[in-house]
Amino acid sequence: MSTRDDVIALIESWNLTLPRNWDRDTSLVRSGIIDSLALYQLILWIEERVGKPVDPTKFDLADELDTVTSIANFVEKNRGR
Amino acid sequence: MFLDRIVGPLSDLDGRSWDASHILSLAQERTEQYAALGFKHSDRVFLHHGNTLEFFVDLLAVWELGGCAIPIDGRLTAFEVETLAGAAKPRFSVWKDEPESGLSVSLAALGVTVLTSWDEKIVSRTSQSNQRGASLMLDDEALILFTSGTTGKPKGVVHTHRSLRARWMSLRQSLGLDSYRRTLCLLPTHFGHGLICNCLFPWLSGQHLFVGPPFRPDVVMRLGATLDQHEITFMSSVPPVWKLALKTTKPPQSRTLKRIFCGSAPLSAALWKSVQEWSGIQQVFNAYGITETGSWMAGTTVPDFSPEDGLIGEAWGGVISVLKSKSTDIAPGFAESCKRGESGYVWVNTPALMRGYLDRDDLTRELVTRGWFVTGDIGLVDDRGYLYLRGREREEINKGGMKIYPSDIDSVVERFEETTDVCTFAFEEPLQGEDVGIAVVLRSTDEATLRRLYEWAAFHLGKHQLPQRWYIVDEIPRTSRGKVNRSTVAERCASLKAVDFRALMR
Repeated sequence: MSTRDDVIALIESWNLTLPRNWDRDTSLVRSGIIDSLALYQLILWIEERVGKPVDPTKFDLADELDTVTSIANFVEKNRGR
Repeated sequence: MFLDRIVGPLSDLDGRSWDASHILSLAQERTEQYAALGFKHSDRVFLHHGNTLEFFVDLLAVWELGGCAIPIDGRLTAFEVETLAGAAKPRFSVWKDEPESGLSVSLAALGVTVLTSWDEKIVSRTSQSNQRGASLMLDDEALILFTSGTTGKPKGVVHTHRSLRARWMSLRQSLGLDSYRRTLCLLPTHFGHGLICNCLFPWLSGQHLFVGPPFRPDVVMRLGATLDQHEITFMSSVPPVWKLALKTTKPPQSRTLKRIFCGSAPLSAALWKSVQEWSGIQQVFNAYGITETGSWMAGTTVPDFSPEDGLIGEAWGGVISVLKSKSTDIAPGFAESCKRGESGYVWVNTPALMRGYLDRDDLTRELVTRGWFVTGDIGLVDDRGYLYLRGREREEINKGGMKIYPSDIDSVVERFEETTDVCTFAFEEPLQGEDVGIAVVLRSTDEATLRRLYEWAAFHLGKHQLPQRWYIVDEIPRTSRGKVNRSTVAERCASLKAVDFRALMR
């Protein structure tokens, strides 16, 4: 499975109300689809994937984590750095 | 209702800003609109448009006419709103957008006039009227805040103008106003912490209030920038918001912040220190309050404190005693006190105490006697006279500062046709501290029944109340007296596999 598929599986495992036709480019954070708990879980999941804490001073996470594509890119970019 | 003859400016995070004279002019207009619709002294008004500028103007108008405002949680289901309307019998129900038609019909059947906030129809009818209601009296009911019972027997905390003023005056004397010059509220305005203290204390004292939508992750992710942009000097929040903010947002750069409060849920020393580091200020206070006492009644306004688990500090505008008994049968003045450092039941004596629970004298008598209120918290007072909290006896689930009462959820799920027994309990959760779990005994456990059970719960319960872990069990363990111990049920369920409703409902 690709990182993108992993992100989709993660999001689908949460108790969120997802739009019927949501896809990898649907806004998740800015649109309010992701709630606080889901966002927190997402950060923990990313930290596990990249192997270190996410430093919010280095990124604009509201942009970096808004869609499945951007989340997957963020993980790929920061993995093993 | 103003403490300083004038309110402060109001702004939201979308760029709208109203100065005091504009707010008073709008409030006057709204007062006339309500009067034209037949508003009478003591009428109650449901306000469903919390955290908006319009909400605060409506609050002023209702009070100006001698009415009582009842802010309603926007996440409640139609069923819950109807339950509250049946208990409070409001004259008006004010919404930002049209409520769903079924709810409008049922509210109308209860004699409630449904208004969409700032409705053109209302505006056009008013200018003909200069009617004014009777002026408010200090002991009139001003605010009713429902803390539980939205699915059955509502528990509404009734505050009068006198009790609210007592809270605001005591805060002003204990805290001053300087730090609150530009106050940000990201808490919901339907409960005491957000409304009475974070918003109304500074705003009715002429300070500038900024309001944003509550608990929105995108807003939390921009918190540092928001504090800079609006030159915020004060904000209050709850531990989960800080946990999220520390992981997702850059610290503010402009150093306008003077003070931060954190309340409504236990604040660990580690998180406390992290917030101090993130914000760059030492004045991060742990605030202790309960809706019944007008919220904030104690906090860390003590010299040279270091964050400690459970440290609250000193009382603001009242007396806090730790007693060995929680019974209201014994006058607290004659009851045995705990020694310094010894844990017991936390009692409060404050002029900001509620009048009582709405039409629930039985409940009021259980918790209030001779002006004293038994909080349900366990704590101690140390040698310096500082209060520490050590736990609680109240039966509630504290989900990130929002209190959820297990009996509210039990009463919904037990009405499902296949349910024979039920027990709602708290389980630990990393962000919000606690979340809702439930054990259910069903006559039939096939998939169709489980789906119907979930649909039943989702229809009747607000999203925040909906259990996140469901366990279908053969029986609910009871004590020899037939009572359910929720902690025991939670422990037993921890070793079981929860039903995967997400998969089941797909």
